[in-house]
Amino acid sequence: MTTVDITVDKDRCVGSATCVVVAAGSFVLDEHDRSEPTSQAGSDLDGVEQAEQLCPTAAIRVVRSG
Amino acid sequence: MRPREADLTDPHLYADGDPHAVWERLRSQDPVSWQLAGGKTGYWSVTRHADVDRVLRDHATFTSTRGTFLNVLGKDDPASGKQLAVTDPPRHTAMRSPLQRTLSIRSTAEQIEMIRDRVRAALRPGLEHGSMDLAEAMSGLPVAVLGTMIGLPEADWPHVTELALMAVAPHEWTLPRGPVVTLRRAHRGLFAYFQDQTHARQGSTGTDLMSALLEMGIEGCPDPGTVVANCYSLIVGAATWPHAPTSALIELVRTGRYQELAGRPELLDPLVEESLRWASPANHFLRHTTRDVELGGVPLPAGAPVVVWLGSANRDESVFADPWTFDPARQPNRHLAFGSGPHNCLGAALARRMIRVVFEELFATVDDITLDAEPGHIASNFVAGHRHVPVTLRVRSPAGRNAT
Ligand code: HEM
Ligand code: SF4
Repeated sequence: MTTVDITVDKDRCVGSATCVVVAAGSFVLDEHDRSEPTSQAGSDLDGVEQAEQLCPTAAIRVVRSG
Repeated sequence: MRPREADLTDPHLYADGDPHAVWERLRSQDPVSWQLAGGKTGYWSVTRHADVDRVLRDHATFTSTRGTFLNVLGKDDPASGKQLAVTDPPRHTAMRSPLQRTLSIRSTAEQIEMIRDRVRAALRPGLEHGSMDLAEAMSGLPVAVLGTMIGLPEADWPHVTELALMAVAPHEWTLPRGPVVTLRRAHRGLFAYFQDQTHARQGSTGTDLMSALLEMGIEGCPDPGTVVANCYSLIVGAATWPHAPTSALIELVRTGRYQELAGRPELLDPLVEESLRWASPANHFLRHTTRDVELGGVPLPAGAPVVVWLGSANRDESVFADPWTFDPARQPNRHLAFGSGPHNCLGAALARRMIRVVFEELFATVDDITLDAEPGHIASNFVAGHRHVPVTLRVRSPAGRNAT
């Protein structure tokens, strides 16, 4: 089975909220306005990949394995 | 009583004085402080990296809707709700996404060869003469690249460039009747120009960037006012980028490191970032508090104007080791040259590519550079850079060119 690992580099994240909008439910901003993936992030891979591409600082990483 | 601080809003401080000395003192003693602007109005000045970052991220507390530039201090911004830069989420997010797609890291990769053509055309006369005014040679590039992407006729580029320069630094590119008239003329000229261009394009799809602009209207309905206001933002936002490579090159020449860097292509990406930190071409942004809030231990009232100084944040000694050293290998480099939060620069990916291409092209064709005169700073509290940078070039022989 393929597993997908979604991470946000909080040092790079500028809090644009792009990911929160294009992949609704998959990312939230924390109390410092930095993004983090939610537990549902794996269920909308299309959205997550769009967010990965549109993130202004390339802070989102999607790694597939298996 | 404290001595009176130099007025950071005074454009002449940037040409004749030393804003960095003022920021350095404020960062250590008064990082969030009330400052006067021209002796009449005042604003809260924010100088530390952490506080600047927080203000820019927290749009709910620090709104952009009342204007983002010091020149609107005391007035409300008329473009609110139409222009991306002065609209806050949630509407901002929907407006921004079509443009964001066209200007993403991935989409802008398709523009690299077009950018290279434009950069080569700008540098060609200087390479032929063995000397040039680096700042002047590159001043037309923002409009040449954006103009190509929006589909503006090439014959119009010089005129649009002139208006954009007047709009970003009216005290430097001043018409005989003074900076206030200059700024008004520039605004009117740009709005009128984009109005005509938008009008001419209705019904036709045009370039990707033009269609993205047309998509930004209210609920997806093309709205000419929105297109015009955002063309304006794009052109004015883009006008500052050549100052990043120019300021960096001045520093490389001064410290005798040009040739070393020209031979180290692996440092190009960190060099671009350090150029952005070093130059901080866009120097300030304005916000207004929407509630009482504490910032850096200082209580701010609701409705107060707050100015973040990016030039100061990017020299913050608590974030950058040796902030006064231009270090092309600096990593990490958490500069705020493109801002932060929901309004962070939409053109960042494109700007990074353009700056990189300028270095690539110069490094490939020019073996060494010397400064012919000490370049002066632009008289502006917004754009940080130089108007004239006369240099002599030692152009590589065609054979040597192949070797790099
Ligand atoms: C080195 C060059 C550049 C610098 C230093 C720069 C800097 C910035 C900064 C700091 C902001 C944030 C403004 C705020 O928070 O209120 C911004 C916003 C913006 N920039 Fe840039 N910029 C550059 C190049 C560009 C380019 C090339 C474009 C056009 C393609 C552009 C278009 C914009 C737009 C449209 C916004 C408003 C975004 C929004 O409000 O959501 N900029 N820029
Ligand atoms: S899109 Fe990127 S920068 Fe913006 S909030 Fe998401 S992770 Fe952060």
